[in-house]
Amino acid sequence: MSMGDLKQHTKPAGAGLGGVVRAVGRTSWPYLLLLPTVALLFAFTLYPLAQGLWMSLFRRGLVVVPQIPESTPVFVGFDNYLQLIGDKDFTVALVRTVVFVVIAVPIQLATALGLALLLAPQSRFNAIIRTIVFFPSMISGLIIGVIWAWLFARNSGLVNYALSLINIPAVPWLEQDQMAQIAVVVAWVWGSAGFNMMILIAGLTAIPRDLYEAAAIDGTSRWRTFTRITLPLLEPSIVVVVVLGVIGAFQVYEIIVSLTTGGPGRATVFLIQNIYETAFKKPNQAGVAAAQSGVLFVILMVLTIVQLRVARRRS
Amino acid sequence: MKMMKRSALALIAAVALATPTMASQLQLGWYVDGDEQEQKLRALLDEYTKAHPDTTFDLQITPYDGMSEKFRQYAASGIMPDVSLTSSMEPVVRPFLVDWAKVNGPDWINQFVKGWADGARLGDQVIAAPLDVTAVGIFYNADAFAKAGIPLPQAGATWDDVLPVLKQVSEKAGVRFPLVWDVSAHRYLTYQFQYGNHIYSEDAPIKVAMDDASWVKVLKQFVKITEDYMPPGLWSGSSSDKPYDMFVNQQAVAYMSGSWQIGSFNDNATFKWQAGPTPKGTVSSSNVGGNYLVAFNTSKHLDEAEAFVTWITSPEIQAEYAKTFGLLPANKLAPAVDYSSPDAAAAVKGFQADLENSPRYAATDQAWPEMQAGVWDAVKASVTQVVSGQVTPEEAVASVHKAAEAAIAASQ
Repeated sequence: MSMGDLKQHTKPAGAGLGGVVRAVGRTSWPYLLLLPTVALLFAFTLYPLAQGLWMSLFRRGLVVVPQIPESTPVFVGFDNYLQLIGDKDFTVALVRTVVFVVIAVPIQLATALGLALLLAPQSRFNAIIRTIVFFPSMISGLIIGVIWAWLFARNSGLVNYALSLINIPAVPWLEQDQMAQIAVVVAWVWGSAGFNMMILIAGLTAIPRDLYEAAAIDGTSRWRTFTRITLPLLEPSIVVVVVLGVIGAFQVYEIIVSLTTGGPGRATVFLIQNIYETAFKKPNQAGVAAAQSGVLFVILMVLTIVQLRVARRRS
Repeated sequence: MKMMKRSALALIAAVALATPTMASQLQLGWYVDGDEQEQKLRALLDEYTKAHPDTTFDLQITPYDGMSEKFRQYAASGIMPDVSLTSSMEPVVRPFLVDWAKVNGPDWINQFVKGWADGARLGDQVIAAPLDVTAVGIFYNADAFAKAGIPLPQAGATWDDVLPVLKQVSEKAGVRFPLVWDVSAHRYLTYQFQYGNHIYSEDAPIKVAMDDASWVKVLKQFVKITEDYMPPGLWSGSSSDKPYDMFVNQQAVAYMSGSWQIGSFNDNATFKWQAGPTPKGTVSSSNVGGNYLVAFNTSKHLDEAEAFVTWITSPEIQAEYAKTFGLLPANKLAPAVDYSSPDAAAAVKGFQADLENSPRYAATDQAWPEMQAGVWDAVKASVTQVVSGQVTPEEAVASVHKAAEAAIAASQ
């Protein structure tokens, strides 16, 4: 640094209050730009999260009305969390949700990957099919559930009607435990595969073409090309799909409400529906419902951190 | 500047002259079955506005299933409509409800059908105005019976008598299913009522009055009916088959539902139908239900809201309301209703007789506020879980008993 440079640097710093304000302005400008986003994040994510965790430490009604004493909060510490251990509805719903995640997420990934590989090449036909496949992702979960409920209706549904044309007896798609759980997986995968396909297509198009050309010149088989080039280079996109899939599968709710309403019996009551029922349908159990949400938050956070760490280590 | 001041004053004067008195717009929360009912309701509100030009309405239609959540939102936010239709008064919203005993006197409530009026009482208060009364009962496809050459069931027939007949009609007339039954705790509870079972004591102090062994026996009978006479899986709790649609589309010989369907069948059924007589068990019983109007004490137009509710529940308007919607008037002083259709008139008469012949608990059970605290859900789940083979009838009844006890504990 020359003396001239030094002069240029030192002069403004010693130029009094105006210089200080300018310097502070320069350093704080990026934070000011971030402020709206941070404010929204705080208002709609962090504050409700903290509020929910705080609520889980109280026995209280969902709505606190001073005239109704039993709705007013009473501090119970971690009692609500301890209560969950013996809560059969909660533990069954939690296990059922985990099983759903373990089954549905790989199926969703495989479906999205298959579609992405098929439809990634640029052509007008593929563009039309991609749009059609992506379409369910734009529909609300409730509508997806209603559509599949119509299709799967045992005595008046299109699927059973089609089966009857080839003399296959009506299948209890929604009326038998395992079949209803399969129906939920089908509807959920149908609703989300298109969006994930787009993420994977974006990942596929980012893979350098010369790698494939080199593999072709070397006479590498298509399977080997897929496992040694496509899959490893697609891994960041796959991680995104898996992380989003796991979070989405743990939070599955709207599709179930309109498809099976949690039935038959309680065979498709998953974690979020159980939280909803605890909060809204049982008197003064809002604290317990908040504790269930707290457990879900911890599970999702741990799983996301583990998945991202594993992906980072491998890359 | 002078010019602007003059213009502003002129504008204020013009507005003041144009509206000599301030009109009140009442926010009205309501649920309807379809556009046709909404139009009829709007016509009735217009009639009120014609007679009371200072009161207009902002009608907010809400799905019936969403009413509980809506009421909780009201309580949480403190933002409420002026008046709302409801079938139950959630505990969280009760402090905000107008006490009709203070508005119209403590005896005013006595002019309404007793069982439903009891549900509006909260201690010495009357927190709702009964609007209409409903009864649970059966509808028959009379054309199917005629086609099969089999006479319709007579009054006094039991389920054991009627069920094989429904099956015969189904086979002979080529109707797919003998019976459809609304998948609802309220409709199932009617079947338990018909065998002498109920949940709570008829008089205060409230206590659980369940005879578990008898409940189990009747639950097993009901599950057998779902297996032998209803569309497979209808009562699994997840079926997307709609009993109403199946009956209206002549897919079922009989439909166990309630009096609120009369208006709809009158408008939509393309075949000859008949309401009742509803088969009995060891006793005849319906299940008293209906709708209330509640006014919120947070209203800025409280006088107008109270006047409107008092008007629509008055005897003459009750008769008109019942006729328009094919319902049973809640006000006992209502003049005889002239239903335009003979089928509807006969149906209403039959359901009114069913209500009169029902045991007292058919009204008191649902009038207890404790029923709203998770008991209805437990009752429905008890059947759907047994039908799905997830619990035994004994476990299912035990869970209803537990929920009923828990609701009492929570209320105390």
